[in-house]
Amino acid sequence: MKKLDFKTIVIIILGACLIISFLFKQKSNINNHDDEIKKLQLENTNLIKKNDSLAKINNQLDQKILTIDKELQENTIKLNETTNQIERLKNKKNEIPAYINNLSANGVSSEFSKFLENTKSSNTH
Amino acid sequence: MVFQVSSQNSLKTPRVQTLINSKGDTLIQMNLADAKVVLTTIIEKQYVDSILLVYINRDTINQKTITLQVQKIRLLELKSSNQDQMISNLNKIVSNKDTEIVLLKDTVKQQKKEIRKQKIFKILGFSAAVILPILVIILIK
Repeated sequence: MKKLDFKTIVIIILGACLIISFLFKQKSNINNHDDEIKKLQLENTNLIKKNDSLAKINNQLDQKILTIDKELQENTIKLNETTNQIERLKNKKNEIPAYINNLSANGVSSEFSKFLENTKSSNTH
Repeated sequence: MVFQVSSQNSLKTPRVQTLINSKGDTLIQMNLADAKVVLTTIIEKQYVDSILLVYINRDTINQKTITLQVQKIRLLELKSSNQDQMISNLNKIVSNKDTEIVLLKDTVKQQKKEIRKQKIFKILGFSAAVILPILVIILIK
């Protein structure tokens, strides 16, 4: 067997190193989780869209509630008016006996006449 | 001349009497005090009728108010339900963002490891590139 000189040995060693480096060369296997992140971002976009539509619906509901509140306020005013009317009528009703007692005979007959006239006119209507 | 006709067949003189005057009109006669009692009742009845009408109107308004309040409650319930849904969605978004952060941190960690490894390879490579030629030159001589 022919004796190998030093140059050849060095070349063989370097060649072996090269082959080994090719064999054991590791691919960069960093997992960037791109698919998972994209999926999560897509889900978030959909959720944000849903929230936007819900916010729009809530705005419409707020407007309807405002309209109802206005009507309720108007009703409260009307109820206060009726309370005042009832109080006024009750007071007038309580004043009737005193008013009638102070009437003379002519006054009484005049009131009867008024009542009959009013009844007659309301009946004809 | 006025003829008196009794309105009741009793021994007492009735409080209300019926008279027929010379023209033939039938008249009802009573004391002023009794007439005042009748008039008071009549006018009071008129006021009671008016009060009743106001109460009916008030009842209608109250019914409308109740209907409006029921509508308002339903709308508020719907709004509340929507807000619950929005909160749930926002919590899900936060959870997704947290997961995203965890994944990105993991990526950064892996990349840091890879960078360290590549630095070591670079140092080894440069060292070999310097040492090997020198060694070869020394050994050849």
